[in-house]
Amino acid sequence: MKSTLYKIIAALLCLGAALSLSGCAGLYANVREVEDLLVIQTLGLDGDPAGVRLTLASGAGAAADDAPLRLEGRGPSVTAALEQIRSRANEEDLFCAHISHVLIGESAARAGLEAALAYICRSQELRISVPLYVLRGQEAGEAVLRVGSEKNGICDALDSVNGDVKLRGDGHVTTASELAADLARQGSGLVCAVALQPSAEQPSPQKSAGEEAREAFAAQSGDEEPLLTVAAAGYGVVKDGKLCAWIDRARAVAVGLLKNQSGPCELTVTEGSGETVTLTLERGESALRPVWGGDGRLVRLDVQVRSEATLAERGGEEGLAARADEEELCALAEAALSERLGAVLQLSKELRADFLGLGSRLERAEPARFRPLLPAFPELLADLPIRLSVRVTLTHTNDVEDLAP
Amino acid sequence: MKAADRYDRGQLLSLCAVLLLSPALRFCPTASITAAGRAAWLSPLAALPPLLLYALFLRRFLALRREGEGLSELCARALGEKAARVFLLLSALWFSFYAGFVVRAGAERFITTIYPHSGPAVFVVVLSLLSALAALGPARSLVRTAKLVLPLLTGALALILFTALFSAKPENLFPVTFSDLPQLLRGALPTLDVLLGVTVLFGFLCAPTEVRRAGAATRLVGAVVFLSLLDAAILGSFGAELSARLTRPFFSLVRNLVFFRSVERVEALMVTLWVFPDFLLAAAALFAAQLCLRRALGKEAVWRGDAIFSLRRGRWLIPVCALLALAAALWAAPDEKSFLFLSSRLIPALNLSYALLALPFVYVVGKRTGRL
Repeated sequence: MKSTLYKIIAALLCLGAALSLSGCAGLYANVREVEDLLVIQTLGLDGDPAGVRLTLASGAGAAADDAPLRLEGRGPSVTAALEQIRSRANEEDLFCAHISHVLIGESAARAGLEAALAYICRSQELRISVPLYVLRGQEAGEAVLRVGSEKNGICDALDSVNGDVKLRGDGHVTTASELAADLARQGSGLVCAVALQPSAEQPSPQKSAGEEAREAFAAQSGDEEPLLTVAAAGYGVVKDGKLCAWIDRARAVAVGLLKNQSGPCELTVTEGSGETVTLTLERGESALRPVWGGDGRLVRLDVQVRSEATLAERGGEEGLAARADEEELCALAEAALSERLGAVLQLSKELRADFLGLGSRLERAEPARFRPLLPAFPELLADLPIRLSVRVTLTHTNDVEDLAP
Repeated sequence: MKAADRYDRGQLLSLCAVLLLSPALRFCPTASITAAGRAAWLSPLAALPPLLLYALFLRRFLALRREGEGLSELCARALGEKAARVFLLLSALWFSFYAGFVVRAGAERFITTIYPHSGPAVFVVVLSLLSALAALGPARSLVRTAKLVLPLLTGALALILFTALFSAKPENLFPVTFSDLPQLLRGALPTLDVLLGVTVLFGFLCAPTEVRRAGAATRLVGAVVFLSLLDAAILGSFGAELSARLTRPFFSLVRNLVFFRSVERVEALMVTLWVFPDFLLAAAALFAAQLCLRRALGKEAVWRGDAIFSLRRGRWLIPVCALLALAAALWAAPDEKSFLFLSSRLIPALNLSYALLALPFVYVVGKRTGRL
């Protein structure tokens, strides 16, 4: 009887202890009810005389009237700015564990991204794999507070950028952990660039009373603004933790090819006749071949790029019947790609930054020979002659004449 | 009298598998990666030969037991009464201190992952209490608890490892060349530390069971492969440079994972699941501590159906060990810096010394004096 009593006491003690540890009880818990939470999905970071300007945006549907909620705070650090927002917000409890985009303004990125990366890596709320974006030419706060309408906001716009870039070969959304790993390994890296643009969305003809009133007010005050969105704008080059250059979207295709992360993207060329032809680069890859001198020094780097393209659009009445025409198109595409690839490689040399990870690729190919060179590779790259060869193959012409019986 | 404290060898090995998970995630990945860089994921494999040799040694040592003897009794017989008393007292202190450290490490994990504004005291007290209760009972309770939680833990780990390895980047894992061998061997030390600690506890807990050849070596190979995959998952996701900077890369990895595009942020659940390995490891260390202490003071250490709160037959020494562990947990590492020193320096050094110096020394003395 006594033993049974002891067992019951022990079981109750265990149960109490387990409940207190699981975070599901009130003894030592940080429990918050879901309906009381305002789920923040986008975080914007800018520099500020006070230290940091922090802007937050919830997803659409978070607030009672379906509009995304935008918040702004300032402080000497991200934590202090967040605390200011928490203390001044009229809304529910801010919940930052589901932040899915971090947007950094250009000036803050040029001042240095390391503090932001350290915050993300140390944060117990943010994921280390959160996607990072740098806003070209603007403060992140501008985009977080102004992008979108009553029905959508910056989160939807960045979701769209993320989805768009994943399907294409002229961009890549870098996560905080990827950038931190690249900076730790090779001293430089790439971050997805976005730019503030007028939205393609047109206001609905059926306006709500609130929208009409707002437009009337805007018309009276004369400061009517178009709907804004953010669009992918290539890459930002980060060296020693600071944004130091941009690669625009037209040249971003070269980054995809040189990093072997290519995907479909358009390439527009002009034929000798003045006719514009649009090709879709479906896939491609690059191969690196180091050329060693007799004394064991690296004397040249050969970069061979191969890409497959299809004909997407072509003006004029004639189809692509002649073989010579196809060869001319390929040559034009090769020249266009060579220009882009050369420009990106030249930027890497000028910045003395191996943001393309060429050193790591060469090390994988010839580890014993290349590993001693790896720490000084960015400097070595600056004076290393690079021989670039590009080959484009047209796989499908999609010529309407092919469909003719 | 109740049934004797019996459990078979397979059950005991299941307990060891659970015990392994606590130090494996605390110490192994970061320490191996710091030492071996990109090659760290192969380091556990380099630890296998010395581990197998040690397992062979322990098997031979345990084979010298007589009827009713455990490792503590065997050590006492090998050293002679006076020297054995000192050795077993030191062993009890070490195991109590280790139990306290395990509890403190569990608390630290809670604080840095899901309870950022908490102090360690409440977690330490609760986990110490649970471990003390477990140590008051028979060892078979620990073994059976391990049998219950092992499928849950392995299932969760398998899902995480599969998802992480699936998205690992090959450039973070390769190339590994012969020139990496020195770093690779240095990186094997944390694996050796973790697995030797568990192997020693296995030696103390396997008292009432028979020692047979089959099973242990296979399980050691399995443990080494598991640690290798764990390192590969972390390295493949973050790369060596970033992984070495993260305090708990495994839980950072778990925080990143999204299952089937819908389930995410499961790190709180994983941290809570890891209470079981912490609890069982602390309880097993306490159990070994009380065996040594009772034997050192000339008490019979075999469980004979005692009631859980009975303090007869020297069982009052069990709460003494638990209080020692609690004191160690509360005061040995008051801040993160001292905890890191314990975690990365002192505990591995003591653990390796006990396994590789103390026990072989006892064996050699016993053989030389003809007591074994």
